[in-house]
Amino acid sequence: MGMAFDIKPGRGSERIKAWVYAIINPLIDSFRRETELLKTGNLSWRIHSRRCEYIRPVPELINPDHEPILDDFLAEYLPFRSRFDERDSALGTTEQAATKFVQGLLQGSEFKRQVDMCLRDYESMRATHPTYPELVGHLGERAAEYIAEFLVNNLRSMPRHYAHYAFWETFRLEFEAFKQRETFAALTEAANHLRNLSEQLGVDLGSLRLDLCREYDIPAARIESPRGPSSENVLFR
Amino acid sequence: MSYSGSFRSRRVLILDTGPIRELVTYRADLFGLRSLGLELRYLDSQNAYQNTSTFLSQFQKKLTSASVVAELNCWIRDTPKQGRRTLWQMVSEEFERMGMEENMIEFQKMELDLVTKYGPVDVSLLEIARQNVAQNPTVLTIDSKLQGACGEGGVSAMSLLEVCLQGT
Repeated sequence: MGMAFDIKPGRGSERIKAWVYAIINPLIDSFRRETELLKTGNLSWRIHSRRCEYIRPVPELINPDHEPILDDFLAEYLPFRSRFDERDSALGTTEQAATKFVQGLLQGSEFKRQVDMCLRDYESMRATHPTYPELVGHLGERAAEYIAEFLVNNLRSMPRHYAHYAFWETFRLEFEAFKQRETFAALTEAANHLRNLSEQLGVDLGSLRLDLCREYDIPAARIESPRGPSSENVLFR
Repeated sequence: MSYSGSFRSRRVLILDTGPIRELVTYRADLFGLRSLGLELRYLDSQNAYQNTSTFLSQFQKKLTSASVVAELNCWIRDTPKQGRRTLWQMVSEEFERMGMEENMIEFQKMELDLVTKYGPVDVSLLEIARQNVAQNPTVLTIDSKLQGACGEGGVSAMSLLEVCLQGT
């Protein structure tokens, strides 16, 4: 994929460095991380924000001070603009699909009945398991919302010190049947599409970085000054 | 893995900034946020994390001070801009998921001699310990000075390093 502009930057170009360090590297890092997360089925979706907290739209993946560099990069590599838009749109679709699945759970009586039953059983178990935490306050009141979120994120286990650890270890399988719903299948399909787009973007940006580094003879990452921490733009001076 | 029986009777754990920073950094590392350049100094292995997680799970109540949140800001503001929101999200989730309660200790009610000696954050934690003395609280920290202050005040304190090494 070549640049749209006719005038070729020189060897060691600061402009090309800016693309690689401020745009391409953070995006490759984010897309790879996101792909790994999605491979485990974890969307990092949160009920309070109805967003995937650790999978963000492209403009949020770079330092806000570097937005002009993003614009400059996209002006030269036009196809990436539409691909970023497509990927961000897939993210929005995934978030909406998660919301729809959760709304279906919370508005129906079947899920609420199952949550209430498991909470009652959990409370009974606490008599013989004194280390099981009491699910008080929002942890209990919003239990249905938390459980719906766990299902969206395909959560199999969680750290032992989390308040819902013992509950989820004990009752997780009781909620698996809710994943048979059509809305969950739609969510899975949307998440898989997002994963494919992000994975390919990561690969293609990696190839572009290699091409740019070879062509302009620049290192693929900034090298820290041996004098200690430097400002973020030190290599652009 | 087992901890001494005395901890089982303890109900309140008070967390200093260091252990919270380590827990959040571990999660960030788990999510592959290597570009933020965060450094794990204690929870540098799955075993250390699991020991800490098990230790924390033995306390019914977890408390921290609002001053600790301010101290976390000093840490997060030194990380790359694009990752700061994610780190705050992780702090917020860590608090929520472990059922952490935040206590506010007013500076104007602190003894200035103590503030001068230990700083306002440590004094706020010592005050929270004093307020919960009936529940035999334990302070978890990476700060040996705070540990010493707890000892002088008759409050139980543990270093995160001890906790990481428990059961190994």
